[in-house]
Amino acid sequence: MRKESLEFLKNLLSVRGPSGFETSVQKVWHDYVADFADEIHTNAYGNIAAVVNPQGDPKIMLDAHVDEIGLMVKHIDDKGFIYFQKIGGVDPAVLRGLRVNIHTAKGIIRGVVAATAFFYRDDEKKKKVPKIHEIYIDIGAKDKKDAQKKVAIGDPITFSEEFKVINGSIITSRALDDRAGIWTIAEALRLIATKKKQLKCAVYACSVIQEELGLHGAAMNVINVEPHAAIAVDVTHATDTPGIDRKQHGEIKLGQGPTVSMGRENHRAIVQRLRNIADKKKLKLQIETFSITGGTDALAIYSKLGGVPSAILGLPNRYMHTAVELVDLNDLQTAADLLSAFCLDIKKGERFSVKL
Amino acid sequence: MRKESLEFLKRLMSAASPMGFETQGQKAWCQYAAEYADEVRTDAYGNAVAILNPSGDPKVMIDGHIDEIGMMVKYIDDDGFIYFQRIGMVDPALVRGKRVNIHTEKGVVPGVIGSPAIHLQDRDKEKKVPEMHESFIDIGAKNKKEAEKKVSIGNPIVFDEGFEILNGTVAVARAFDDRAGAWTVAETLRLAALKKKQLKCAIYATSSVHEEGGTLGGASMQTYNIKPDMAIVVDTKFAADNPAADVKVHGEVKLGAGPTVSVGRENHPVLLERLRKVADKKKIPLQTTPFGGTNNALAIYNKQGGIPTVRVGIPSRYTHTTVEMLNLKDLQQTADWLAAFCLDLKRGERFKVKME
Repeated sequence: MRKESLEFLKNLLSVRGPSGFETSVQKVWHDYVADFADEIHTNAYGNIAAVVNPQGDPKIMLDAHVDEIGLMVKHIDDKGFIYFQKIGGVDPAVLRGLRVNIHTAKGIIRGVVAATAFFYRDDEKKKKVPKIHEIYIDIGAKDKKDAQKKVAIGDPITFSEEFKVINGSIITSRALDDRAGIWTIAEALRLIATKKKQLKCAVYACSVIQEELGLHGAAMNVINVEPHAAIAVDVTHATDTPGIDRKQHGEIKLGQGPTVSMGRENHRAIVQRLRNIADKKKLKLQIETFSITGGTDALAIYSKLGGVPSAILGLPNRYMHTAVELVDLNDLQTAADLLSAFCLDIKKGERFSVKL
Repeated sequence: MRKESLEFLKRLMSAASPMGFETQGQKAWCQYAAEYADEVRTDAYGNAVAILNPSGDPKVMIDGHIDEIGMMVKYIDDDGFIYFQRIGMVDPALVRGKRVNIHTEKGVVPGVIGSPAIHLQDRDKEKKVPEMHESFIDIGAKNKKEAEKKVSIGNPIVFDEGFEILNGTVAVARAFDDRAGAWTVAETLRLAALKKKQLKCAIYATSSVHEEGGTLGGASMQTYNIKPDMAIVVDTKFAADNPAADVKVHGEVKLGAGPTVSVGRENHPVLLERLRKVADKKKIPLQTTPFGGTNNALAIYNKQGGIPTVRVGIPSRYTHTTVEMLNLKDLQQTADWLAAFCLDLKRGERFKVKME
């Protein structure tokens, strides 16, 4: 991976963007793509589309979401302890003992998700996972008044963990879902821009908001962009760790390349084209079935505008939606290389359709 | 708190010092104590004692323990995932979703304790806390062979969480239990050294190993080696001023309301009274709690035919988690108080329960 591209990934992970509060991440992404995009559009809710070769045909949309899961301040009790609700699919089982950032109008307030000492919990409680309203954040406030000076109802909250190398190309961070995706489409766009003379299509790389709350950003963005085809890049579950039943969830491995999915929103012709290009370019690619445990932006895109041929490109990710998500940088690079080769391979005026 | 003293606390907190592997923490402690003590000694198992005015009488032992809880590599599976056992009372409910450092002969190997994505969990099942052997560390190794090149059975593991000020004097870290105590006894020695001419007693400030393993072995060894006339044990004390605790079960101890003294069992009533009087005179608030829990005072008081001992507590929230919390004011007051006590002791003073 190119040094500047790795720095860009680190920068994306050092800023916070829970769904509905994505602007600081969008700014980092915007400033990076501005170096090679011909046009950049933003919309009312903060989606960004960076375009290379806007006169090209067809319009190919590369989508990934900028938002991350998080929490939101819901209630401050008399002693100044903070109760919260989820933003997206947060697992209450892995919150306690984490440090968090509360994003206030005046800046970041640090806090911890509290946990009773093990030997002081009764045996029944030891075995049960708490409900989200049974845990709270401690910011070391004296009382409610002190806490209210610092934190307000509605302030978003994120985990602390940033980019860290675990072993060679394997890295951990919170929110690789889906910073890994917006990195990949920006990197693909950069690679495409370096071979612009060969390019026939228009490429719209879109960093969209609010995926974690129901794919809303992508739903808006597809109407604005009106693409002829779309590829959504998001993390997918790597199931190569203990405790995951491969018979139930399939087998996807870290470091074995990105994935394409079969069925439902995944348009056969696009998937086949991606597979052919991966073969030709000797890029690793894994195959999985369409997801029944959660949708991605492709699901919001494909049924709009009378049907937009779409596919998901998955980036294998262990421990999704925890503070210790894990990806292999090689998979990200392979995905960017594949997307770039795909766009450069599209013929002028080409359309995707299911042949009868 | 004096700047250099705070820096010393930070150095202690950044050292990894799991029970049985305390040398990093002990080294930081000895370096600091050596600046103020007449003599610093260590013993066969790595206990340290810093002595001030060795010809004084009585011999006062002031003890804190340098070890922390942690984990140990137990088994590496074929895919290179690492299973572990506890060193001390680590809560299996809190290990997942955390970063860890494995301390090997060649240096630190970073890892994460994974948790299956919430999407892949069976939503019909009631969520139960995993057993310790159901969690594992991912170091991004390809397989057992690669993992074994980096990590060995028996390597100690600590959570990757450091010291941080949350709000004013409220600080958070892993393992304030009991670096807070180790800091306090060194600081007590420093403060007493400033007024050495007034000092009648000999101060033996001890930084003991092996408290967390359940044997209290370090304090037992120290007692035998030192043969003190009295002992004060400084350890963290469970603060129940928060929703993770129940005052009816745990009693009411508050952060920032001064050090605690325990009454009953190992706590010698006459020594306790003397300590209270000094606190009164110095206007240091004390919180009183019933005896309870295991701590080094239990290992000391019934040795050598009986050593008058009192257990002093630094109020601390969320004991044995990665987010232990305390108030630096409590820490400073404890050191001020214990230094004043030592300076107040008369030559040859002894404590005995009176039969009246």
